[in-house]
Amino acid sequence: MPFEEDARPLLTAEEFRLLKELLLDACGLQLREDLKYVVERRLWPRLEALSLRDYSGYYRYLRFDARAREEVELAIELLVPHETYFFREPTQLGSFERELLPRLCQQNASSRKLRLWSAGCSSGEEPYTLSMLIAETGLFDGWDVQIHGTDISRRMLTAARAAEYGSSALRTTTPAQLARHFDPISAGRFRVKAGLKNRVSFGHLNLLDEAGLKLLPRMDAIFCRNVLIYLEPAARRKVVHSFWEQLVAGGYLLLGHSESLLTFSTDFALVQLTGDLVYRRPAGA
Amino acid sequence: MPLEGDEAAEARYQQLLAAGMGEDALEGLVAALYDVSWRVRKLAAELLARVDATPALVDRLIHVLGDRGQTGARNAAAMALAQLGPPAVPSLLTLLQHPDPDQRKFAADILGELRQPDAVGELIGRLEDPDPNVCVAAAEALGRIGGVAAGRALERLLDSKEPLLRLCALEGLGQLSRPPPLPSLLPHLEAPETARSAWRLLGQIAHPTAFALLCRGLLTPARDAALAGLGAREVGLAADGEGELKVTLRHVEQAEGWLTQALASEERALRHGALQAVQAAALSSLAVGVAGAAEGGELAEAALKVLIRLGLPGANALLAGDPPALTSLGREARSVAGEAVLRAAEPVLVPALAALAAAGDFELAELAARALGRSRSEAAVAPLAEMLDDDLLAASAARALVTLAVTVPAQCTQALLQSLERRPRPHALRAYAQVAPPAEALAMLRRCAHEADERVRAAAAEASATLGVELLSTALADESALVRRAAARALARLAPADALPLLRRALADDEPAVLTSAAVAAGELGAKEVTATLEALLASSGAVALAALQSLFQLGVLSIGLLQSAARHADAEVVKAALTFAAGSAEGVKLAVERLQHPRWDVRVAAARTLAVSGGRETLIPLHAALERETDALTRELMMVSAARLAER
Repeated sequence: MPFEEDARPLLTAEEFRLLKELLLDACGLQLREDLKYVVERRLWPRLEALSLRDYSGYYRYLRFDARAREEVELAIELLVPHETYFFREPTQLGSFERELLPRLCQQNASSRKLRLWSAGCSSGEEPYTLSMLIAETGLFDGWDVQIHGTDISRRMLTAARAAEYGSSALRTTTPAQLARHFDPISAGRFRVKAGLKNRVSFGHLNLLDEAGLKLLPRMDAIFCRNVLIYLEPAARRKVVHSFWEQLVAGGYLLLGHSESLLTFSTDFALVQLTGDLVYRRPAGA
Repeated sequence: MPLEGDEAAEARYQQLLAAGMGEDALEGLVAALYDVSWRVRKLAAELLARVDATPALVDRLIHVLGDRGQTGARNAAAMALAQLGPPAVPSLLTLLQHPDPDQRKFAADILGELRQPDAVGELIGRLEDPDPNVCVAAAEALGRIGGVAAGRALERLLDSKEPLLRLCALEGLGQLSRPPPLPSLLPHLEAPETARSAWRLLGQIAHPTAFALLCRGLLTPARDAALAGLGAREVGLAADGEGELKVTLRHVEQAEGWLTQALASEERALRHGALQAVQAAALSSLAVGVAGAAEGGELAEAALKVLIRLGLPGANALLAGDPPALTSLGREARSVAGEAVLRAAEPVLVPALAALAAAGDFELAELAARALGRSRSEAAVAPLAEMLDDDLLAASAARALVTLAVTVPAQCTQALLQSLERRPRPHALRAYAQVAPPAEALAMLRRCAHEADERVRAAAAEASATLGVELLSTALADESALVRRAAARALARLAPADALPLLRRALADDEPAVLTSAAVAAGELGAKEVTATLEALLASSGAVALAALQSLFQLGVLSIGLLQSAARHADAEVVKAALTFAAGSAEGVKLAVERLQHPRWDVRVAAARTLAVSGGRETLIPLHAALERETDALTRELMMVSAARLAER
């Protein structure tokens, strides 16, 4: 039964706290107190879809329903912005393409292998963008290149695997890039070219899940942009530690432009590139 | 973390961290306040703030404050003192009298950070300090601390000859939400140094004259400040105020361009003022900017209200363009814009919504589906039918078609049927069962009950309750727990006589999810025959126990013994439910008093709430004792509501 237009129930302070605790426990997500109204509005469609009258009912659904795990993922998906598009943050990508990829090419010249990880890849735009940048450099032709995209949302991964995108995802893609890297499938919709798509694989992963992380190979570079800001400090620390463990010595960690590791001590070294600051696991570490 | 080559600073940082905060470490921490690395100094200050605030430590830090030429160390010491709390106050008050103006300024700054009302008298005295920097620091501190005396002193400062002090006074009064009398404020609106703060303060005066002045200000070169003043108002626009503002805006030159810039401003008050102006002038062309003002979340509610007021023209503006304007917005702004579009979903928007669905953004496509469902338009059926074939959008599309079927039932039923014939999917099947004529729905459910995909079989079972007992019976024997659970959930919709044998079977299942659904169905069916089974299920894990407890309550067979047992359950939700159900009995009051000491905060709140409903005044004693013990702010706040209710008894 659809809700009345203005029937959005109020999220009480108690319900908000319960939801916060549950999501913190599930994935380290930190919901700030001032976001109560935002949480209320973003989760409302779920109450509507599940015919639940209030947020207490939704909390119990998240705890007890047989579909709770799926629903927790959906709630996280709704609460954590996954706004992404191709070639997002061009300055950082430019530095990656012009400065880090040549270094990695040199570093791995003997193995001719390159492993990249897009942690929190959402609907796939970032790992595919990396695949495109690698192709554009021409440095890795004939190499064994694998790009891994992981996300906590299975729905996002389904979209990522389909590799089909419309105008919103392509908002900063130039016509030339569009022609080089995409095949048109219908008016305004494009599919990533098979060669670029094939070296990207996707997997479901909660970044706090240590067992899941062990399934990934050691990486030459990790992109984790605009994910850490949503995690509470202990979870953030744990995830950064996992990144350290997951990187090869001399591997790079690239964060979003509003994120940094300055608030806590890590063993990463800061590397100043022309247009960006990135983090590096030192060569001997 | 070091820049490459800055390992030495990192080593000192780690050393400091490892040294901890013991007495022996004190000297090292004070010395680290002088470190060349700001990270090390910051860490030292943080660690010092956690040390016992002895007078000796306070004096030591105050000594560092006096170390001229060591700016980094002085700031770090100030930071540590500001975190030490009340023990630092007496020495800081003494420091306010120090011959060195720098020291007096530090003292005033730190006292402001500490927000100690005891310092107000001394700080007021420093407003007369011969050094203007000390006066400014004292005024700022008073603005932070607040209180009647501080407010009066700041008001007096409005007459100061020093523009900087007048500005501090205005800022401080603004911080305290304590605007001065209108006549004392008016001169400051004109002076360039104080105009911005004064206009904002004017917005805090809830009076028609102040509002009229703000409107008039929009026609002057100080219009940005006046607009921010409007935004500083915490109350919404009253109808007559809105009329006045609308008339004013007609005379503002290039109002649309100006308000577009204001909506994108970094300054919250300016954005808020612009939102009010857009609402008053009904500038639907600025809908995208209005939604953009919601970015960050702070003004989301205000922006949504404006978008709702802009109605259909506003929604049209949000959906205009290729790609639709909505797609260019950030996450929060999109969410607000989405809700506004949803509320304005009219048939005329269908083509734009169809375009939004095709824009390739999953989240916006879901929004488009919901809005299409509410559009009451036959034209919405085709785009929704297309979405049914998209695994990601099928659920939203199917729900939307059920909503739309109220207006155009035949077309929606046909669209769902065609989709199911192409490939049976669970969401479309559930929707079809709701909208199709019963005989046709039953035929489809029978067909789908044999599908290889367990999700489709489960959907068929869930939807078959009112249509086919046989189907449910078969589903309860399915090898998939998903299907059995769906069937158990559907039992509640059968006639009790038909349901009972199936219910007994479901309650003997070994899957918790099936048991939970069956327990819920038992309560809804009023099946007292299975009471003993439900009682036994109370010992199960959270979900099953909660469902059993709720059903036993619904059946009216919940004994005190069972409630006591449920109140000891390991899962907080079961305990809370037990407290709720026990509210009508004397035993419930006893259980609630005991649970005031429960380790979970939400159980303590539920216990207090039960007392508020059922307890006598005598239960105020344990409740007050619980409040004394309570250290969690929210729990305390919620318990106090219960205590207040109880005290009224």
